[in-house]
Amino acid sequence: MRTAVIRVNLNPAGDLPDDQLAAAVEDLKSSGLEVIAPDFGQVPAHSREIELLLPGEDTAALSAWAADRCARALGAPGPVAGAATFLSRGTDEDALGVVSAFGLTATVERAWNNDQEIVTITIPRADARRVPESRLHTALEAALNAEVRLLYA
Amino acid sequence: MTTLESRLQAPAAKKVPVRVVDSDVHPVPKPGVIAEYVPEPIRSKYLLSHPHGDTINYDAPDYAHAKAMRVDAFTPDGGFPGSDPELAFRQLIIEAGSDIGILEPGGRTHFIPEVTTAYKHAMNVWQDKHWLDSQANWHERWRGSICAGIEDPQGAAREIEEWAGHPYMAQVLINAEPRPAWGDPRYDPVWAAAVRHGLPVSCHLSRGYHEELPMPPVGFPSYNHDFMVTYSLLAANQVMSMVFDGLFERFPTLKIILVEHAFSWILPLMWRMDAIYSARKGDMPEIRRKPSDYVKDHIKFTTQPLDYPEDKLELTRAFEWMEADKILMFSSDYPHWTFDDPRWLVKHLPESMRDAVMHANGIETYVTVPTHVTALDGKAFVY
Amino acid sequence: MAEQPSSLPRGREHVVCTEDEIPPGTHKVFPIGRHGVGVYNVNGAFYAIANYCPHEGGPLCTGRVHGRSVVSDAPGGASVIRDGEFVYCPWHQWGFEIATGTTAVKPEWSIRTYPVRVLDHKVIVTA
Repeated sequence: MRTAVIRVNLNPAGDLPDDQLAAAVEDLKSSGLEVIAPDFGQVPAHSREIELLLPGEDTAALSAWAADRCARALGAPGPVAGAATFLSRGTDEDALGVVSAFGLTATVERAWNNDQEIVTITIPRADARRVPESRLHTALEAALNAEVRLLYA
Repeated sequence: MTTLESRLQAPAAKKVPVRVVDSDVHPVPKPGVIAEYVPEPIRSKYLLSHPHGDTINYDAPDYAHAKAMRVDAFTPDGGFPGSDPELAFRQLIIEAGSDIGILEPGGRTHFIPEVTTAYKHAMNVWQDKHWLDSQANWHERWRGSICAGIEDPQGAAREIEEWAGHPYMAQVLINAEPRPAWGDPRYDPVWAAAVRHGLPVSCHLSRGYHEELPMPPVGFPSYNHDFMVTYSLLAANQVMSMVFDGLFERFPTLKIILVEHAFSWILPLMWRMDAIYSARKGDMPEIRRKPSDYVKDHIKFTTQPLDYPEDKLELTRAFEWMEADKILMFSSDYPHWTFDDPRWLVKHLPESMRDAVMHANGIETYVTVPTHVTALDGKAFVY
Repeated sequence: MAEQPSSLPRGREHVVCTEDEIPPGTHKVFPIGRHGVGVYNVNGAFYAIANYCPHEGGPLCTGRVHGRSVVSDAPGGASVIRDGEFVYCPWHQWGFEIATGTTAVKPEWSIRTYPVRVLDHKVIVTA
């Protein structure tokens, strides 16, 4: 299961006091959610954005849920979800997630050479010509921190 | 043990084929070095009289810290990226994998042409003594450029004559901003000197000063990136002049390289020039060939910065349409922040074009670039 | 500390150093994975991120750490927030949140991050 990073601007209008925002963050954290939140005193009023780390892949659904949950925590409407990204822990799912962001499907195989992992990503040959190979390769090696080999079959 | 010491102790190493010729590497003189090679009275009157401020009007990310450079290319003692030949060798040749690096020094110009020539001469002496000498170039991977002030044609021709035949000078390097355009006969002594010695003439994109800043036709731009358009426009105008002012008829062996001016604009320009020629060739009998043939035979472009759309197929098709294997040469622009790693770049090229772009065109175009070089331990494999 | 092997074995917890070897605002790179892992101390919290940029493969952890710019009423119209929380690749300056290895401006990218914890003043990375 991938973990999505959902950004939510708690108060785009910039009209709520810092302590109300801090209390909302406390509420979210104490309900068991993983939250990344800055010190709001250091941030311009309309930029008070937090991040929720949520399991799942459907960013539209997760964003809607997150915005709603933040509104409930605040006791006020207004939170707006922003960009959604995904964590990578180097799993097969994370690799396939990176591949799907390029509009492709693939299979993943792993092998070991002493202590060095080699991950082979196989993409359907029909897609070979339109794969931006360099960009896919660097995106995958960053997500896996292992040697990545791309095959077409 | 330093790299130099270990190399002196090693037995004669085997030769391997050159796979990557890097057409754009920027060496930088250490502070105070260039002044040594500029003669008086020019040195005191022009070079040293004006304390050099930061004239760059360029807002690269984190500019105050990075100075538009790769942050990892500053030397350990805080020296500017490109000022240490050994660090450049390690990062570009060993770690990135370029086999040969063509040095394109920047350096200042002046509105008095003879002063520019004095500065260019100093840049050539500096390369010869500090980058191409047997110590800095022990690995024989650097090739230098004979810097020449195009706006002082006689001075430029003298400079070319002086350095032609140097074992590690691969090309002549000029600027594009001086007026008029290159097709004007006043520049003929420069081309004549270059072709006499088989040297290609290269131009790296640059900003002139004052009225020579490549100004967009609609006035001062809002953003620095608007200059990306005017650099290409400047190069396009030079291409038009070279073709329609008959430069390649006067100098049928002349080779021109346009470095860092982008290249995807050349395809529609070739279409337009061919259409003009087809309609008007009766009016210009001295132009005997189709303009696109002149381009493909005489002009090369470098890959960096690579414009690439999201859909790779679009890029592949563009390469095929412009016959990129005839006109492109790989370049990294090390150590600038816009650096293209050769291992990353090569996979953007259609497979059938890789050899031409990555090394074959460079070997054919430059002087002194060999087909094989001495193998180096630990050098990165590119393709 | 004993000399590290060329790459630490996978699927385990690794004691990479002691807590005081990475003071707040600093980081160290350890030989984990193909490209190494940078362990950062951001205001007392430890994070670990692969030393590799998804753009062109630059050495991410040799880049400068600073905050992020946002529009504000400060002179100049911009302020830096969350200082110390982002690392910028030394090559082309792509910036990434150290805690998540991602950037809002290019959601397709995700740099591998590793669980880090501190136990008895020892920094432990799960690789």
